[in-house]
Amino acid sequence: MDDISVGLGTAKAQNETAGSCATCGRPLTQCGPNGECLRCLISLTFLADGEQPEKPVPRGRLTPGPLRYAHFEVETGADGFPVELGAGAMAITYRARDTVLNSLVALKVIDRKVAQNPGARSRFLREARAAANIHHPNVARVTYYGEQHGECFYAMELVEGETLEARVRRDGPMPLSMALDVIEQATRALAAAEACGVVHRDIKPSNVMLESDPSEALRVKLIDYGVAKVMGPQTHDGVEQTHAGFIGTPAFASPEQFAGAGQLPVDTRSDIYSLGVTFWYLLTGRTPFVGRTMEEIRARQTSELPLEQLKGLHIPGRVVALLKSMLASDPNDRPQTARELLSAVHHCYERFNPQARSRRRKAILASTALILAIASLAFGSWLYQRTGAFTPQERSIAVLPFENLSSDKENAYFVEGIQDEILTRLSKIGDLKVISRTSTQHYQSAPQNLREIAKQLGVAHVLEGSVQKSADTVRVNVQLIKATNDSHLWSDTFDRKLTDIFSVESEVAKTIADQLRAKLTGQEEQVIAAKATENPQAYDAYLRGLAYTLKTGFTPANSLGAQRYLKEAVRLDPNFALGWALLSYVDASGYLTQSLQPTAALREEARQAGETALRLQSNLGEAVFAKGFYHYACLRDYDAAVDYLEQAHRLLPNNSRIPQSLAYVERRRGNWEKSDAYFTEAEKLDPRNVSLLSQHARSYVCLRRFTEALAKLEQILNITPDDTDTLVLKARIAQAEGDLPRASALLAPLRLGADYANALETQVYQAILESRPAPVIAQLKEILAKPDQALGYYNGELRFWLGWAQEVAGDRIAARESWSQARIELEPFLKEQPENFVLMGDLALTNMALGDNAAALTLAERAIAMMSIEKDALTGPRPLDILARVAARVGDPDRAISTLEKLLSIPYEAPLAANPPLTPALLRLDPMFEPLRKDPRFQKLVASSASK
Amino acid sequence: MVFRAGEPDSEPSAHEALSGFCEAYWPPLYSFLRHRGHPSADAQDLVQSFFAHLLEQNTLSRADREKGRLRTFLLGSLENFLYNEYDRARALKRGGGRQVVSIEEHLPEAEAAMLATVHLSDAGCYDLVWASNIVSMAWKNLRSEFEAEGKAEWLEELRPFVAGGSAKPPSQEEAATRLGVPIATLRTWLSRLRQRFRESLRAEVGSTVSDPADIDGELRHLYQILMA
Repeated sequence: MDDISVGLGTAKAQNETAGSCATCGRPLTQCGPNGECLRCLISLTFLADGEQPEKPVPRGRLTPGPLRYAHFEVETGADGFPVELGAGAMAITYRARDTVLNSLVALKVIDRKVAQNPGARSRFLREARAAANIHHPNVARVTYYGEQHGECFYAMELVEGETLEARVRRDGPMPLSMALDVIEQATRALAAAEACGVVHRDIKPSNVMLESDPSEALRVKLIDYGVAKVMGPQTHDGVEQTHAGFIGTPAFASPEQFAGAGQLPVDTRSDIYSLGVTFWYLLTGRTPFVGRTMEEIRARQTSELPLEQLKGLHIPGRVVALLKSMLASDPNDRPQTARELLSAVHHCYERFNPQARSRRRKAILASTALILAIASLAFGSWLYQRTGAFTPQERSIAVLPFENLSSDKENAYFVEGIQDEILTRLSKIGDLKVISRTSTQHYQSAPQNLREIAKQLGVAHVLEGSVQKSADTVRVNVQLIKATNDSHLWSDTFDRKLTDIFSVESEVAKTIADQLRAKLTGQEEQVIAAKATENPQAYDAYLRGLAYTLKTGFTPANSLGAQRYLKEAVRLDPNFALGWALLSYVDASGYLTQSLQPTAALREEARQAGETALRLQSNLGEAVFAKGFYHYACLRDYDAAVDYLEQAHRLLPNNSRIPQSLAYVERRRGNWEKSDAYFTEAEKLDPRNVSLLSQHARSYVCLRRFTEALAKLEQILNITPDDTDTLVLKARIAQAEGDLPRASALLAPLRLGADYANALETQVYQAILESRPAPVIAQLKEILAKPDQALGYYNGELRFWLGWAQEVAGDRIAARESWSQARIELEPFLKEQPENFVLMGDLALTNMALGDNAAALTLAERAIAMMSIEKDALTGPRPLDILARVAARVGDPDRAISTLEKLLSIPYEAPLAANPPLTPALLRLDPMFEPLRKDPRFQKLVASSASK
Repeated sequence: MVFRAGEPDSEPSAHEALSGFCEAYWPPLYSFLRHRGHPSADAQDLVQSFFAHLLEQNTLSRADREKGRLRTFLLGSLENFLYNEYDRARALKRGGGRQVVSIEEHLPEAEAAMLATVHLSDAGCYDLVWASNIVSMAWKNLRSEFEAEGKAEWLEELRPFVAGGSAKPPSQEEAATRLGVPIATLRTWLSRLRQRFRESLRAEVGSTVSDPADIDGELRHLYQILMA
């Protein structure tokens, strides 16, 4: 093949902001070797000769990409196309993801032409509302209705399984007992719908699903309630329905559906008829009345039932009578209500379904069995030991958010607290794997797609629950579910006084441990049975404080709220060790993240609280953890922190915060491999914790292991698509790899302000690396015209960047002005924060830019003295990075190059636009290293490979 | 082409076929790797190693046996390759890997394709480049046929009527006058040209599916990809 540009003659078209094709009007983004429009070409395959390709209809959706309807994203298959569950003339049903609840749904999108019928949307909405009210295990629920760009769509519960139609096609007609089971369940669905005043109008085997269930129980679900009625065109009284306007499927439709609209009412009795035809179909594999046209079917419906089709099937007379009554052509001759039908169907079911019969017999045999059971106890316990061991994977569990059933919604904190306390107790059992709350909190209570969730979290079991609190009593309901087949292993309801809530928490934890056959050590038995305080008010305050700590993110509001209630809790019960421990953790994390004012007093409170907790209960895992965290967060005493954290890790084997903290501490100590292992361990317990994943990615970036970093970032984007910080970090990696076009493509769509510090700096840095500073100069000027004083010295930093961009643009006078202003703004902050080495670095670079070499070097050296690699392997090398830049500019190439050699050999988080460390590609692109370009030693560095 | 490339026992022609095969199908693979975040040099190396791996493993004849579509098969294999062979592939020194196909020359186009698809998923980018590639190849093959028949200029004259492009096509009357034929003749020609392109595209798509029954489905897929 001589010419391999085929298919990719897109470069020209792209760069010239692709025009559109003069023939089809579509953008010329996909061109052949000589500018052929590939869309025109492929259209030839689907057009009759002479037919012109359809001009594109302008749609609301401007950017191509995955199909989205409101917050539902249609799933794509391996081939990149939407996964269709079914498609008809009027609607397509997709498998889609609810991106808010992160669950799967069936999404039915009504054809635009249907939706645009006059009045159609209001009817859709009305019907969707009615259908959404049917709550029944045999009805797939409608959970959402929406409109978008002239299309209407419904979200429905996704039923995994097959339709009756598919089953009969595959296996042939059903045995009577199974058909009766199906029809009984379907009748229950009709009865539920009837109670809500909803008629299905399109009952047929392809609208009845058999849910797949490995436990063999047959579960029937009716789908598409409320859809059929609105699918047809609007029918006013007296308007004859045409063929096109026929609602339903002819072979399964009732005689009254064939009659003109308004002539005969279409009510539940019509659904009963259709269910009768479905029943017939299940037994025989065919429909009773066939015809080539609707008229033929309609004519035959009034004739006798073709009972000869049932011959040889040994259908009992009672069932034949039931079929006849359901298929009566006059609605008045059928069962008049679904409830009436249910009683008839149920009677047959009980009589002719051997399983139903055996259930009855079982009750009689139960007493006999009891005697046998006692006799076999000894054997049973032996068997238990032999076969009862669960694999470690089977001994895994996720505790989903509990539902708040209290009338007072203010009790949410209490519900969260109970859930967390049960989770915490479970996590103290070393033999179990318990998923952390951060990863489960975004799921619904009692979700539909348990199997999917369990898969995402990597667990075999799920605990669901609800809590109802009124005055001083609490009702807690819990259900332990095996995710693979959705079967209930155990469920129970506890009614207790508020003062006795601990007993529920420990009983639940104990039973789950038993159910999952986890071995408990004596100490574990003790800790899960422990009562944290005797004082119910103190416990209530603790739960309120706890709820604040469980919220996402350390914001001042969350930290202050938690601190206030926890102080109250330990005031009410000064011996409340768990309360003291949590208070210490809240203080220390507030100190570290500055969500609380990082004062000496706060540090002291964290210390005292931690020590009090330990003094009260020396083996309390939470207290040991708090102490370790204090040493890390407040003292940067990494050795002591690791000692305590490792000890806590043994006491709380499933607490992901501990390996997470250990990962941070080991990283600061420069034990990158150890840190990596702790990150991995924490992620097993907390697989959907975005901040954990992103810290792990940052580690890989510091290590210049970009491929692994990108893989982690992809994981984050799968959980929170379009996350700005993640996209920015991807762009920074591209920069560090010298791939500016890719970085630019990632950054271009982001519109950023000063509040996204890293993101903004990354865009500015990109412009500098690309030598195209004009747009960012304008952007920075705009931001600095109204500086946000709350950002502190960051405004000064931005002025430095502005100066740099102006210098790259060749405007030295403006650059000088910006730098002078930056220095004026930065200096007072350094007086206030004399130990802030980041600020020193900023000022060193600013002085360097202004030509004040002595001051620049002094500041860089001061920063080095303040912070070293030994003190902190993560940010410790930052001052060296600054020094290398300063030395290069002030004419000390020896020092600059030896520093760069050092920097390229170690992992670290860089000072500029924080994150990727210097790489050969950055040395090549970054204009600050211009003075070194001709130095052969520098050239060697640029040519070196820095993949380590 | 799949069948020929995968034939194990006809050595020289197999290698020839394979190199033609690789040249034809590297653009979507390369764009996919770039889209996924591999730097250009790594993506080039990976494509080379991947092709070398296909050659070593004789995987293509397996593709034939398993009755798949080449499009999804290649992407799946590449993903497996990345997963299983990545460390090994990374260990290959740049340029030291087996040079199966020369791709340097046309990198700018492939880069442009990657950048033009940032809004798509990695697999979406792959599919779009794949679809463009197939349609382009079909057109190119048709052009070669006409060149061989000495009708290159004739094709050039009729091209705007069937293949679109940025320039507004002349009216059929104008073109007929220029070619010196009645307009009815021109229309017949156009009809034949369209028919021949359809055949060319079917043949091209046919070489990427092992079961001819899949051709229509695959064509529809390509159509949807390009029209999305």
